[in-house]
Amino acid sequence: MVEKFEKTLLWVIETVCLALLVALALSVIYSTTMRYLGSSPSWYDEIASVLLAWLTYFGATYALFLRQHMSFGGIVTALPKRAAVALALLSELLVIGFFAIVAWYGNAVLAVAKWDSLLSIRWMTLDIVQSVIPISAVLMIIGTLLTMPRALANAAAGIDMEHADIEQAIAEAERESADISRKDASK
Amino acid sequence: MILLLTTVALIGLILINVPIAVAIGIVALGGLVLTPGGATLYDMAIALYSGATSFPLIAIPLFILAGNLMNTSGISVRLINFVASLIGFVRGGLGMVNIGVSMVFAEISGSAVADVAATGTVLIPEMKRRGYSRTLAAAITSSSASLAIIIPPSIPMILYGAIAEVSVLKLFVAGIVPGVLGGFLLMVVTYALAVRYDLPRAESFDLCHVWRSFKEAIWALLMPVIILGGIFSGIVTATEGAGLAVLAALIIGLFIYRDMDVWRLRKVMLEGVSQTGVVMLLVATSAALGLFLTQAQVPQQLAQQITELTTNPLIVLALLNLLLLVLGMFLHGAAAIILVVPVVMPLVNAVGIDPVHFGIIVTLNLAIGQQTPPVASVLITSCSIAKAGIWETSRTNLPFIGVLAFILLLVTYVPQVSLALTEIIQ
Repeated sequence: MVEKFEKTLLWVIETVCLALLVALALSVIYSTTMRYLGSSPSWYDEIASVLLAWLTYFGATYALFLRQHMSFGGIVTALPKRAAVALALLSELLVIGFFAIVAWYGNAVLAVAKWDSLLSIRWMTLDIVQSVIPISAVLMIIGTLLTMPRALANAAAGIDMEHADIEQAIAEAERESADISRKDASK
Repeated sequence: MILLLTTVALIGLILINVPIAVAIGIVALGGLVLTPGGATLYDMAIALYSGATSFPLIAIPLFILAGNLMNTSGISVRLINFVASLIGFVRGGLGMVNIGVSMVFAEISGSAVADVAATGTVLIPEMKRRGYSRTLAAAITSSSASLAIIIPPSIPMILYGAIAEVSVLKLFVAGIVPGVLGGFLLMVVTYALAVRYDLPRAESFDLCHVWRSFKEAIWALLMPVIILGGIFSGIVTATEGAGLAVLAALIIGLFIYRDMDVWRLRKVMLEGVSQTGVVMLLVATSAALGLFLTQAQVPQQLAQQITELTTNPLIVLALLNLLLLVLGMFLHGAAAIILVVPVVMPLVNAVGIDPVHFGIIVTLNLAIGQQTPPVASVLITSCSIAKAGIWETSRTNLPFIGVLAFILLLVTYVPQVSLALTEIIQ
């Protein structure tokens, strides 16, 4: 049940991220083309900045679900099991606490932001634009809770996530270069 | 005092494995609550949003995506083959191929680990097969990949440009001479070691082979030409160049080399999204930290205290180099730039150091930092591919780190090395 919930939520986040990335890339390519055709779109600077902010927070949420944020696990993994788990738990609670405060205040400022709007799209009020902060903060809390059991198990087993990530990156690169040489050989 | 407390709190949080971006946010939050002043947690929430909207940073997700597309679309393998056919006949040629390819390739995407994995998994096994020791193969790969940080396009430079409010184009141009010079010196060291250890030539020189591999690689070679040519000639801005890079990499991967399919494209895009989220969350939370530090007048006080002791830019640069080298040992490149640059910028301006010059110095320091454990993701990745120990590789790596340190000193004390080209483009 929990596993299914996590999978579905991750799929939704992935889809939003992909849509934002495509929208950002298209808006940059479109505006570059239009600049050369002599009519730069007036909305470009503002919309691209908003898209970047949304991509930042949804991308950060996605990275949090995968536990890919930069961190330094060397000390914790070197400690005895019980201390490692205790510190890992403390670290998880700090993360949740931080995003809870961000969600609360991020939501509170929306009440003021709704009286203002984007310059290029007047109906888009700033509370819609800035709602990414509380929305992503809540998602990051959920993501931390869902992935916490694995993080604590890793701490107990003394696994450093950075090393695990490196091993994974190498394995993928090896698979891909093998794929390419196989394709080239068959051509 | 505030700076000291902030630093201690930050280090403490990072040591207990709180993600660095969140650790920065927690320190900012604590600082805003504990110190009296105008800014509140409402302002922090706004800073977290506006910190992620900086226009020059739009280039970051696009370059990351382009870099990831290049890594997986067969562009790197073809570049390696072409460079190998060109300089493989020299003694230690494969090591030089590695340096040549890394310099073009590494640090394009947001993840140094992914870049090193892409080129290293092809080259390191081949080097070992031809008699290079494990540690030498890892050391060459690692040091050349790190040098690439100053060769455009480079994510750390875009970050620096946005934070220090310096033209990204000027930074890109300023990195060319030190980058090429450094690459050449790395090759000289490789040649000297190759003679000493009697390493073989990779392949004999064969014009037909060069032509064949050139035809295969021509599209891969066009990528940097289109992107950098477009940016340097002023036809497109850095951000537009990044958009162009995505388009070019997509066309080459999907229609020319055809090593890309929809499933793989989705995976590459998601990797790019994650890498963007990691770097940009750091940028956003450090905007909140900036709010607190500025309110506490920390950067201004630091500038004042140091300028009371000395206003000699040479001494200030030596101090900053020392600080950055130590930080580079413990922090990832992007995190170090985001944390240090806003704090030291008033000092840099006060003693009259050119911000473009300082940008190259900062990135070079981080290149060396990537070679020095404990936090040295590029070195660790190379060692992991070569199955070599980190400490023994570090010993083999010393002459290569020496080259990087020499370039750092040269750039620091002879500003023209980096700045001469930027004056031409004006």
